[in-house]
Amino acid sequence: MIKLPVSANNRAAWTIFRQNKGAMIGAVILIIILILAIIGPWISPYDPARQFTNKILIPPIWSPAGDFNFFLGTDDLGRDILSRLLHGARLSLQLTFTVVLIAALSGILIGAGAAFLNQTLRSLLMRIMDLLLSFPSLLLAIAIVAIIGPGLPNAIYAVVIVLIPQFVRITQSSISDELNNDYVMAARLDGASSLRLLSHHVWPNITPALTVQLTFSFSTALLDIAALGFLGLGAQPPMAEWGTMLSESRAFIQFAPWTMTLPGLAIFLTVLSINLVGDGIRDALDPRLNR
Amino acid sequence: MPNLFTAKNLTKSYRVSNNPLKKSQLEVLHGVSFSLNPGQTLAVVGESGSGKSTLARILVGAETPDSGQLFFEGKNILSKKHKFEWFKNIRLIFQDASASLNPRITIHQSLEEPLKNGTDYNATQRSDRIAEVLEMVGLRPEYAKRYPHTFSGGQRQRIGIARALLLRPKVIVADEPVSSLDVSVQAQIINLLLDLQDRLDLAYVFISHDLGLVQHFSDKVLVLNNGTQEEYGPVSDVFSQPKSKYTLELLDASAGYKKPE
Repeated sequence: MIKLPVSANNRAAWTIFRQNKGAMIGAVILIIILILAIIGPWISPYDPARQFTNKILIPPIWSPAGDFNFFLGTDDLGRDILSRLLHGARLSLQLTFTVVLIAALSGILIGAGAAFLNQTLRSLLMRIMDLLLSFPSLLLAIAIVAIIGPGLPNAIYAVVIVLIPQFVRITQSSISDELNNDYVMAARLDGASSLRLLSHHVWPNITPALTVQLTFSFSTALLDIAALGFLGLGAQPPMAEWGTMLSESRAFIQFAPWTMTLPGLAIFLTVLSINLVGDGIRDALDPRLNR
Repeated sequence: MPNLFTAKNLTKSYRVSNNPLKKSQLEVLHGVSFSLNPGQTLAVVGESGSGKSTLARILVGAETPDSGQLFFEGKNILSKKHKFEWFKNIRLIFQDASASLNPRITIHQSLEEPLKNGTDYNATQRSDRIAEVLEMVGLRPEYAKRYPHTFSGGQRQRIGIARALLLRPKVIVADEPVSSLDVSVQAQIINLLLDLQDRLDLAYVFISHDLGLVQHFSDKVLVLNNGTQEEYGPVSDVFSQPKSKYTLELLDASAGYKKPE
């Protein structure tokens, strides 16, 4: 039996990724959003908290009542929505990156440790992880925030705690799978220590699975942080956070729909593009799906 | 003078049930003994599940026997003191070369591992040794830069042999090294092994179920049946006058084997 690993070189994976139209569209949108998030504070026309008290609920410029000074209109307090969205992009993406980074690092470390624990301890740890995984991620995050109290830092802790078990499980199970392979025994017989075995021999084989998990965690984290903001459990007003913006403008959806549609669209586009890219990466890296 | 490599009364059993209350043990090896001199080949034959592969894994240190002794040049290599000598001198050729090569690292990276742990070579010396060994097994040194999936089955088994040779071992344990290859490639690999044995004075423990091959290849033969040593002796004696019924059945069932007249 001959196993053909696609990503023995990453160039092959890139070729597959490039042929995937959805993934490429997602990648382009995601790159634009990232650039906007990075340069947002410099290009945004106004301070996101500044209130133009005589310019309340002005619609975007494509509407006849639009005002050229406020490209995407203003909200109920006379704040420029474009400025708030740009600042919100930076805030949301920064939070998402931080959350995923912390969750991934701790999850991978715990998972790698678990793979080398003895049977009993590993079972115990993994059952705890299963317990956490059995809740829908948002529900668990809400429960955690309910216990430790609302606020942005607590929402971040909650999302981190929700994401960790996914990384633990995928790391532990991929390492355990790999350890059964002959090449691991070969490396052991070549004198490799457990640590070296993990870092030089097993690690390159589990990075595809972890990469896929990483991209999907981004969309989960973004969505959960926004949802907590929307429920008033995460970022608090007047912070320009997309979820918080959504909930603040909920009351005006009937006569000022843009106040709610625009932040919603921002969340939707970001999550969609991350998922498209994630799908593309998964297809490109998983030999089983494209052979 | 002591033999190069001796095994005495090796036994091994596995726990079959995961239930801690039930202690059912499956004995896979029961009192296996042999001895081997430089340049000699010992063939281990038996049907599937007879414990051949377990024996191979014990001989190279991938598993520890429950009881019994292993001596290399008169030293008890099961003791911690001689672990390094064991690792350097007794090396394994895997049955499935493809599975034994890490798909995501280059041949060079795979072959470097034993040199890193078994020698004090620097990076250049390691590359030189890898090139030298690749040439010994009939591959080009620049192949080291490539990934395993770019090679054919026969080439991969040559890489497996190169990996076994890197540390200049004295004994090579080959666990059915040709059974996953097609016949024309099998002959090439067998000839390569014989050629290397001549040049390097290697002793082989050759695990096989192909009696025709064993007859052609080996000096001694050890017949395993359900983990028990049915017969052990020079190939010509065992094959012409089998003492046990099991050996006789094995010989009768084997197609490739030619009866000596």
